[in-house]
Amino acid sequence: MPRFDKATEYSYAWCKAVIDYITSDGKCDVSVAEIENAVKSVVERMLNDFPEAIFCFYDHGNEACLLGNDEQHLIDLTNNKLLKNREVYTMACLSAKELGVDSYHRYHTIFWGSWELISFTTDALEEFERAMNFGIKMRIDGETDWNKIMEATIEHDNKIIDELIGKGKIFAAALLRQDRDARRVWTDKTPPPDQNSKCFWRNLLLTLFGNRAWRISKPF
Amino acid sequence: MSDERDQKIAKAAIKAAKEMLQSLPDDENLVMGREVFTGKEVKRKFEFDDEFAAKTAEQILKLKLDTLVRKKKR
Repeated sequence: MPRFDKATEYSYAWCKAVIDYITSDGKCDVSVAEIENAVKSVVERMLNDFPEAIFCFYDHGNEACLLGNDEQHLIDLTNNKLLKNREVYTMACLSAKELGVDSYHRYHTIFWGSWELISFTTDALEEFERAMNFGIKMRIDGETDWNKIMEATIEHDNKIIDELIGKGKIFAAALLRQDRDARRVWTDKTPPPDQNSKCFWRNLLLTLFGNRAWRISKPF
Repeated sequence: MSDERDQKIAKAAIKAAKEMLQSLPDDENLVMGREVFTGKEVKRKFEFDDEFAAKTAEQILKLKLDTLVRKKKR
């Protein structure tokens, strides 16, 4: 849970709401890396200590990394092995792209993220919080099929979009529609589309062996 | 003829986008990734930033289409 700029103040609050939801009636154990602790060394240690835990990350990211509170890479393509066989839930911008695809292919990670920038307006913070938190809350409540969670989340988003339109918050509704359509979950039922890696050698192996080549840890 | 048609369509899209932006109060914020703009700044940005204006027009059209498609499915 980094918090280092205006945007992360909002996402921090949303993540806090999820933690409150988990801890309110002891639904499950939670370990939190908050603000100054949301940095690579601490998070790597936590992921090593809890190899089966769901990894939930709410703040900034880009196509190939999640950013820590020090604005340095927290998880990227050099340490995403820590996401092996793990469920990852993040609202970090663009995270479903390179990081999500690589984690899914190489480490069999179930990856929930966004294909585009996440946008929202502060006149509808409560509605965006409900939308962003719905999926992880459903998982915490016991649903283990991420594709079912995705379907339900889209339905839930649609209700909120209509609610926002009803309240005259049209711009907020348009942005939530955009966030909804940008959301991806990479599972065996909904794998990422075939695409090339940025690594020349992996591309060569992908050409030769198909998607199995993702499982080769470091080609050269 | 085609130019005139395009202009009419563009004018309608711009009008719809401007109306949509009016729904964001001046003192509230738009957060786009790491960028944050006040409602007032967003409205100014629409006037001067062509890419942002085009994207905003696209957003309102997509929202309209989305609600129509969902209504039809019900």
